Amino acid sequence: MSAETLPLGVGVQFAHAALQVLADDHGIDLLHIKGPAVDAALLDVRELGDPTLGESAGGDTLSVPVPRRSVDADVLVRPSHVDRLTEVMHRHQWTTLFRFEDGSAFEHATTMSHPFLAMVDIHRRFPGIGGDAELAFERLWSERQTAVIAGQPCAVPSLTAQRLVLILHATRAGALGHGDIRRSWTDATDGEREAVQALAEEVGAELALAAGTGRLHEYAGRPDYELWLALSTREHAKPRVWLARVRAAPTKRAAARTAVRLLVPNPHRMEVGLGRRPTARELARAYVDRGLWGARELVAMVRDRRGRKR
Amino acid sequence: MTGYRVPSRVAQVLVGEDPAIPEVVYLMLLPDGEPAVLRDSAAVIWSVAATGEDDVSAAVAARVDVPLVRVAPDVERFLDELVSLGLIEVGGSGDRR
Repeated sequence: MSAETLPLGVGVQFAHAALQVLADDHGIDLLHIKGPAVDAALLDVRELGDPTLGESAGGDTLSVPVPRRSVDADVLVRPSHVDRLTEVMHRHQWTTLFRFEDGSAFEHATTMSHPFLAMVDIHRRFPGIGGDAELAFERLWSERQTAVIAGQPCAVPSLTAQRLVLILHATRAGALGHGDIRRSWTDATDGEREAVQALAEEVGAELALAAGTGRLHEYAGRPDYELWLALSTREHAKPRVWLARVRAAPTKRAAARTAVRLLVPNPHRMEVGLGRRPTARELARAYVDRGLWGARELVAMVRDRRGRKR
Repeated sequence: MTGYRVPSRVAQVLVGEDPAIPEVVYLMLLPDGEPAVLRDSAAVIWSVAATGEDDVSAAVAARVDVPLVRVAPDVERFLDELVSLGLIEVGGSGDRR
């Protein structure tokens, strides 16, 4: 018997199991999403020849679900329980690698690391779900089901909610041709699609869902239209994405905050990358680089617009 | 004869083509015990015990095709070690997989 470096897939499953036990012990509501939490009905399948049928069966195959490969474990936590969860995790060898404000412009997740388990992304909301995060979580929680991960019963969203989560995730990544969208939407029955659409409307995810399923034009004019157009089409002009994020912010204050955080270097992220605190000189250099980058991108965008007008 | 079962707070991942004879078993006492890795015969012994089998030694001997008298002492010793580490518990017919 030995303890050794865990294969990543095992570390991910153990991380899910560890979080479920901590949640159970401390009355924390969380839902395991993506990775090993995904229902078998939404997994890719591999066709295998069935050796038990012999050659005479000619062409008979077995469809075997292909496990998802994840580099980390993702959980969606009831927003009002997030602080308690991170506090509990800190008492069990977890450390905060990236805070919410260090992550994406959505500031939706904090990343926790552990000495031997896979990293965990704690989501306090899910990008694309635009409604009140607490109400949205309650809606998903009310129809939760159980999946066994590493032998532990873990709370996961309903199959309909899993479809929605996978579509939103692929859409945000600009992966409109991803198998997750095909299996969760394109190949779904009319009834399954209607259920996903109804859930999306309940939790404020109808626009992002539309972006992932070829119907974004139905929402032209909405504040977050430009953002999801940019994300779903992998818009490379960063100023355009930056402007779209600022426009999609729900309040003026949020818009100002988004504008600033996208232009100003993040010292904490620099510290993680460097493995030490950045020096004053490095910080100053980062500010200059960011400024130059912004100017270059803006010039490129203006040139691009002029080019299109001609 | 002693039956065993997997404690409720032990995470398990079995690796191998045949789930009945795993090549590797990864175990972890939740929420933050140090993971244990069982390979080959150790993996088989744990997985047989985890099914709640009453006579683990006999079942292991049958699976690996070795006479019972040769495997029984090692199997019993290893089961005691697993119990002491909390990775299996006496109880029987408690298959949670």
